[in-house]
Amino acid sequence: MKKLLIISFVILFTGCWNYRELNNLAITTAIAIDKKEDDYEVSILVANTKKNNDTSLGSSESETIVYSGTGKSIAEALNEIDLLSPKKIYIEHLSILVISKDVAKEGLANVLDYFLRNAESTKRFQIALADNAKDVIKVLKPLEAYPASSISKNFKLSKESQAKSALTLYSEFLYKYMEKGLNPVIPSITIVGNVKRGSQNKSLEQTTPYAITKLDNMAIFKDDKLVGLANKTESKAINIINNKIDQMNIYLKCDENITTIKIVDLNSNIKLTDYKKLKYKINLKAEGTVIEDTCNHNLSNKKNMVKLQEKAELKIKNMIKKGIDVAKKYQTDIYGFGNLLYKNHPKEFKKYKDWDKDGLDNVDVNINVQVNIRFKGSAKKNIKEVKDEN
Amino acid sequence: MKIKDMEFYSSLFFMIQSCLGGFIIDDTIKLVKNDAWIIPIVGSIIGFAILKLYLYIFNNNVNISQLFKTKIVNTIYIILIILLMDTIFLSLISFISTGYLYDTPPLFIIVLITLTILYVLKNNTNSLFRTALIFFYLFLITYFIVTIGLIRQVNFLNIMPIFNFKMTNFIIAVFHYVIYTTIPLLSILYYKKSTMENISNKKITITYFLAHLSIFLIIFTLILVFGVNLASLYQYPGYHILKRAFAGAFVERLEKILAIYWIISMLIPIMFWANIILNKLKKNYFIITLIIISNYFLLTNITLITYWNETLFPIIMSSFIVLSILICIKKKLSN
Repeated sequence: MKKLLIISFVILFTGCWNYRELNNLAITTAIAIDKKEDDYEVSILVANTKKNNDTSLGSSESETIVYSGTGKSIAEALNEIDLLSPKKIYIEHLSILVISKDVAKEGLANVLDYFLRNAESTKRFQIALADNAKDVIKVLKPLEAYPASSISKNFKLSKESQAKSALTLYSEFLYKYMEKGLNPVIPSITIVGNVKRGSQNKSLEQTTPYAITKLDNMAIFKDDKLVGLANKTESKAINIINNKIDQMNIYLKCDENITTIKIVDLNSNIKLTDYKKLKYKINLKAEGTVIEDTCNHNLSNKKNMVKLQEKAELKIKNMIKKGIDVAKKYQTDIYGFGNLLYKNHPKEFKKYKDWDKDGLDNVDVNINVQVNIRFKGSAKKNIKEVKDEN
Repeated sequence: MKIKDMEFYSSLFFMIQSCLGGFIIDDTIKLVKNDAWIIPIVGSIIGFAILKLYLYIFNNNVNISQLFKTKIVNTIYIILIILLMDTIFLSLISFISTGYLYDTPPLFIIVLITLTILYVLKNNTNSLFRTALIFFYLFLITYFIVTIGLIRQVNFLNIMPIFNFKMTNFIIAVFHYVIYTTIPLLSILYYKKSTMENISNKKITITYFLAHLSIFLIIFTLILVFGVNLASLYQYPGYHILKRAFAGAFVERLEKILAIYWIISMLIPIMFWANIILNKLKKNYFIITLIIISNYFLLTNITLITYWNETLFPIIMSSFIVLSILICIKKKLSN
């Protein structure tokens, strides 16, 4: 009996039942979902493993291939792609999902269900909006072999350098969509240049590619439907309030010149101060470094530094006010004021049948910004200042 | 050769957690939502009374078949063990099918697991307990890695609003929790205390509360990281949370390895139950294999399984407690 069991183990535990050869998998790094009349058009970006394996092919073949299929649902559209692709679609390495505005306006809950149920899906891929999603994944990018990893790294970098665009993961979108008194936001991507020429290898042979993708403003959702796009200042405010930014620059004008302050260690939080009158307080703390000063401030003077700090604080405060106004304008609570009320005082929250319509308008926010400019960079004074002194 | 104390306590630990992956998490979150973390605290205190009952039976080396002159009680005991084993076995197969082998036919997975169980059963009882101890060490390692991977992703606001549940739901959740965590312990009573060395009531109690503490931490972390809405969306949220485990470059995409804990926590108790049934069937391996493989036919009826898991299972399993009380009363009267 024991020998029989051991022999069975040797045969059955080799893991060969439904093994899949790597060569037979279409490793999908990006998926784009567009609307084509009444159907979904799903495009997948697949790594060209033939090009990577066979170096004799030279640079004529593209590193990536885009396959597209249409269907009434995402699963049906992906099934269509099976008719085109010689390899089985494998989405475990999916890094970005791009959705077109038309699809987003109809609602994302049905679109995202496929990725929720699919066992291969890691749920940690990024999600973004575009006018035409397929074009975004078609455009070849310099510096990175795969367009998907280029966009993905761009998003990760944006968190450390600017506030306009911030990455949103699929799981985060789901979380915000399902929470009471909270709605999701996702970043958008635009294409600068000619898409057709930009999706050819020749584009990468130029010093300036024919087309390039650019991270753009934040898209605002109510539940799972797109309601609008924020502008540059509003997008920054959204990301600051949602604590998605590590660093950003703010530009303070003085006559015709500008002082640039790099804001780091941004930390914002929202507190509910009076639940009956819907009074909230946004506290923001940050450190700053002067990275550019063409305004001839005498930065050695403590009073000037304090004035500069106050200017920076006022600028950020005004930015945040615009961010709150855009939420009220689209009647969608993207900051979680309602969610905070629900978590602390659920009975009070239940009084509002539709928080976004009835409650959000009455929200009164007190903004407290503290910026501490610690450093002036490597220079003590402005170049012109020293010249004038001499 | 006697069973060592650490081996016994490890088995006890896994017995308490046998229903965690397939039942406890889904049930508590469905009934009390954000306050699911309170259930293990309350349940462990109430369940302690039942543990005391079991310890009385265990410490007195009660032989159940000799205590009751009719075969009815023995038969009921075996039927309940079979039902318990089949329920957890189906949950295990469903978990492996959903998380790992989604293209593999379920019958093949059942055969694989059955072979593993039969191999362990071929050896003596000591090896069963020793297996539990080895897997306990593996559990500690995976638990540690998961903690490192998830600690930065907790959001303490996710447990709010606190105490926002209906009292009836709370009571049902506690009742279900007590049943799920204490009923499997009854199978440990099958093994006599005299076959073990240095077993003490104090250490059994410590093991009991440690097991409940780990259940509490798992549910608490689940709610803090996912939020109650996302946790209730997933089938096997305990597995999906492992996809979030991330710490630098060395803890990432390890969910398939870390989820081995869920498989072990269901497999060890199944082995113990299978061992009891095997001994009652006078070592008839053919019948035990048939009992396990026949679960394949139940897999096709999802409605029945759902109804059984959510409604009938806790009610019928509570008859184990009635049985235990009868055993205690009978023992006291015979003394």
